[in-house]
Amino acid sequence: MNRRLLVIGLDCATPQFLFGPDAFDLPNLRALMRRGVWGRLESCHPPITVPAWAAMLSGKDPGTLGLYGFRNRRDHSYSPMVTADGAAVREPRVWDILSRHGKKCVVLGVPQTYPVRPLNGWLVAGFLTPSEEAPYTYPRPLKEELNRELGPYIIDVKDFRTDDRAALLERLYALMENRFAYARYLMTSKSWDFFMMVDMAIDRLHHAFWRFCDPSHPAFEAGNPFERVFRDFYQAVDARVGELIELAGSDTAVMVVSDHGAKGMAGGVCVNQWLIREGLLTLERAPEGRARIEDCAIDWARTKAWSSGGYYARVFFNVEGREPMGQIAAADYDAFRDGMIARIESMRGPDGRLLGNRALKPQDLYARVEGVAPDLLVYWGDLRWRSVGSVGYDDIFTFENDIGPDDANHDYHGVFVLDGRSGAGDRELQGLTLASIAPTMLRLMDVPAPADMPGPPIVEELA
Amino acid sequence: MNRPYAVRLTGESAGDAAHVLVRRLVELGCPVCLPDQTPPADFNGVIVLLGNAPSTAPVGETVELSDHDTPDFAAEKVLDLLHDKGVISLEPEGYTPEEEEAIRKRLADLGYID
Repeated sequence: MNRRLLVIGLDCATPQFLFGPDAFDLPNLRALMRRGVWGRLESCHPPITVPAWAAMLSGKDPGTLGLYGFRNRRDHSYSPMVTADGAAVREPRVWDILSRHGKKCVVLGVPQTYPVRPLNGWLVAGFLTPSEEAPYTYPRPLKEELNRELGPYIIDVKDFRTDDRAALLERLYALMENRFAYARYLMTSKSWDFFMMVDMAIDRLHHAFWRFCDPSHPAFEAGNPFERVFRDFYQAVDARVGELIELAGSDTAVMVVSDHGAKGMAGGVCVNQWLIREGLLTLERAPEGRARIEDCAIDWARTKAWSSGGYYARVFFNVEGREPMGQIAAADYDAFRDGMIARIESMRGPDGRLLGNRALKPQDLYARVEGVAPDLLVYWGDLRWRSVGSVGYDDIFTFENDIGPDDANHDYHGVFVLDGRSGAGDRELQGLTLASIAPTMLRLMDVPAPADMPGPPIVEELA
Repeated sequence: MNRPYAVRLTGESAGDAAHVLVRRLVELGCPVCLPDQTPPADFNGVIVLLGNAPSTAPVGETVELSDHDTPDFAAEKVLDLLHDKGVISLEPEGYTPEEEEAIRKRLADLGYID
């Protein structure tokens, strides 16, 4: 094959909006599907931006990467967790491998690429770049060139938590347009074999506008002014995707992927509040009002478990001989963990019905468990409910969000579309997983995948 | 540091890569002797040589650069080699404490952490 590959990453792009009877009218993506193969792409555990993009692009699962979320425990002490920046990804990603084979790469906006690392080409870091002042390009002078030619790089949407949705929507369009303008410039001004960009705007759109667009959301109001923003935004993205495909030319294979999907959010489960109620977590003193668990003084001598929140929960156990003041005997660990799974999965929601929680052991999910893994990953209501880590709530369940509106949670499946040029176009593939993406990219570039990259490429679909 | 140290670059792209390498070494605070210069007697840095240019110092490593590499990437490969040889130190960059806190707040605002 040995041709060029253009990868367009759309963070959180969701299968129901691209495929099936309720898909939006997206002529460019539809044309791409007609020419190739497509399907729902199963994300990793957890289906979260970090670690999902790193898992997809390294071909390794989050356990092997030692990345269980945006912030991870550094060790088994009680120290605050630290952000998983680009240096935390210790396995080579696709462009690292391609660089070693002399392929020229352009990487734009991919999560966990700051601090930047050298590659054979050009890189603009993603939304975990700390500020506009940071050295977010490789090579460094590229930043000045881009700013001069295109204006400032919008790292992410500002003031995301706002009730002024009209203004937020404008900023989301600006974010998306900025990312694609950068892509067009880099595509045409650099000589590349592999080009990959990730746009984050669809993810932000889902979180901010789900209740306005999904008639099944409890807070949906028919006739609201934002009822069609999903369709309009996806169509705007589709137009920009079409421009990139046009610029790429006929010798370039095109792949569109997302790291996970989205679904409506019913509310939040206050996980640490629940652990307190269950007698498993004790605070030295109750906080005045609501507080992050990291800001609370935990009585470790009377605590068996605590949790971090977000779109899912990571529950950590306080284990004797592992944590400094462990309260669970090592010999009791397995029984305690199984008991916790039973407790979590038997939780009933505000209506008295089973919530449908899933509590998963890392050892059952991953090939290896590196770093400091949570003892359990928990999806509340099968991801219909987010995980509220803060304490100071009167109830276990909340329908408000301290930090502002958010109507969507992540879902297990993203999207995959590949212009395979196989002649067998418009074919839906089943059972696609993140593990196949990196080997497929390498296969398209005629570069062998490393032996420790387990996922098979989608070879049979490639001409 | 194992210095002075002479590295010889060969290949068609050696000139361009040497230009970047010199700039990067200066950024890293390492004394550099340019390809067309003779190092002073007490020089304690990296001597960059091109092609078959003569050298008064023993050459530590000769690097054949790939034409497929950008000059920047070729220079980074040489820097990695110099790091491995103990000639320079490439400290990994990361977030400052202030940046770490700013990122944490941003992630909380976005709903990723709570």
